[in-house]
Amino acid sequence: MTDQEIKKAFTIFTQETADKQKNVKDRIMEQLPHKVKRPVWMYKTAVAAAVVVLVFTFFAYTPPGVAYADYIYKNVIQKFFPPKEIKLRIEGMKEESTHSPHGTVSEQRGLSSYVIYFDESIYAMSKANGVDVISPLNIGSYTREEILKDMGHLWKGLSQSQINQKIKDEMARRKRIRDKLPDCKMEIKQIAGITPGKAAEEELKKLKKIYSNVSKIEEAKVIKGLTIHAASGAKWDSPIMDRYIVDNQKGGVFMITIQTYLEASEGHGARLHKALSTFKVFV
Amino acid sequence: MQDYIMQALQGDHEAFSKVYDHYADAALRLSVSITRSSALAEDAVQEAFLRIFKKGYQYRHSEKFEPWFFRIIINESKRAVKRYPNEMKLDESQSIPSFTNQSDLSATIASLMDKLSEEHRLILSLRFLLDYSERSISEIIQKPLGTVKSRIHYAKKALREIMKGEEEIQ
Repeated sequence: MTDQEIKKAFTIFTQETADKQKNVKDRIMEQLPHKVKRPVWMYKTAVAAAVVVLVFTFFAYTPPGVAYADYIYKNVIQKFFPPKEIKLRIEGMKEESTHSPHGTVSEQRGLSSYVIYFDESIYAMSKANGVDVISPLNIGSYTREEILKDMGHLWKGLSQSQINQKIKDEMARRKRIRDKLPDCKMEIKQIAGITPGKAAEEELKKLKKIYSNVSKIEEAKVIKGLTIHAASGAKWDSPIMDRYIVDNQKGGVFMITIQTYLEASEGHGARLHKALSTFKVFV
Repeated sequence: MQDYIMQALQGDHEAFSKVYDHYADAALRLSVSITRSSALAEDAVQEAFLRIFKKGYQYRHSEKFEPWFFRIIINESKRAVKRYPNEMKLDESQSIPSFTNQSDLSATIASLMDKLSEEHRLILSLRFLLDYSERSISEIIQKPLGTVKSRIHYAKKALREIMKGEEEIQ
């Protein structure tokens, strides 16, 4: 097999697609905007302007049935922050995956907007009562099909009713394990009218009442801000918590908490910290 | 071409059209080598060119254009595969490309592309289809030269093993 034959093989393999370049060009040229080239200051202004316009026009123009968060997400976060390829190392293994932008756009006085990237194939974001939570997808939830896929080969020769019982038992067993697993998540909330230093001192007092080991207030390494590390115990499920206090640039702070447990610190802990490193405030 | 590229990145439609004509063939071929789906490759290349036009200001002039450009094509293609994993096969309904006038071995290799991993197809297409040197590939995929060399070696080895397996079946 010569290099020339490999080249020919690729040429054959890709020819049909290469023949479509005119169609693709037509589609691209139709979508080209008239103006581009935004320097950084214009870019930031455009984001801010878009936020203001969207907020003012939201109630008038948001189509019925479309959630506000979805509307903002599609028109601000998704539009101005393209997905990124992010490299990370999990338990010694290198990984590269696409991280998608998420965040909250806030128009309230004293509060800022932010964007954060994470891998949507592993995590999802939920929002409630002013707290955004990034947590693992479907943690510990199993369908009949998934259990059959995992365990079916062990039950060959059993009757259907016996298999149904096995599935039921297995689901219950997995639920028991799932219920015992401590939380693994990142929480992001915003507090207006407080400096990072003051907020950190207050958090330190609270955490000392909950955790046996609490660090001092330190400069964070993964993000620009302050951090406090807290942990209790040395068992596999002992809780670990990292709290980050980030200036929201409007006289308040973002309080970001990464909560894991000992066994998960190198897995979810590392992934959530990588996501945190992409956190950006925009005002 | 360099002048057209600079004008295109500043939003000139006519220059952009010239840049497209210059790079479209390579972009589509590279993309379908990754995605194995004509539909996904078309979408990925479309997205990539639009991104390049709209985000041209993100291009650092100290960097060479081609590595930057092909990185965007590669990333968009991988993203398309991730977004639509079930499309990751050349449309079954489409006719297999004609092998007329091609050497039998090339035709056989082409028919076995699906069995190569995405990374192997990517590295082989950069090296042999687009004729990039190992050093240029290293700039495109942002990996050390040694890594590029070993990836090419292992990709060719994988291809030979697939061929051998196929011969044994027959």
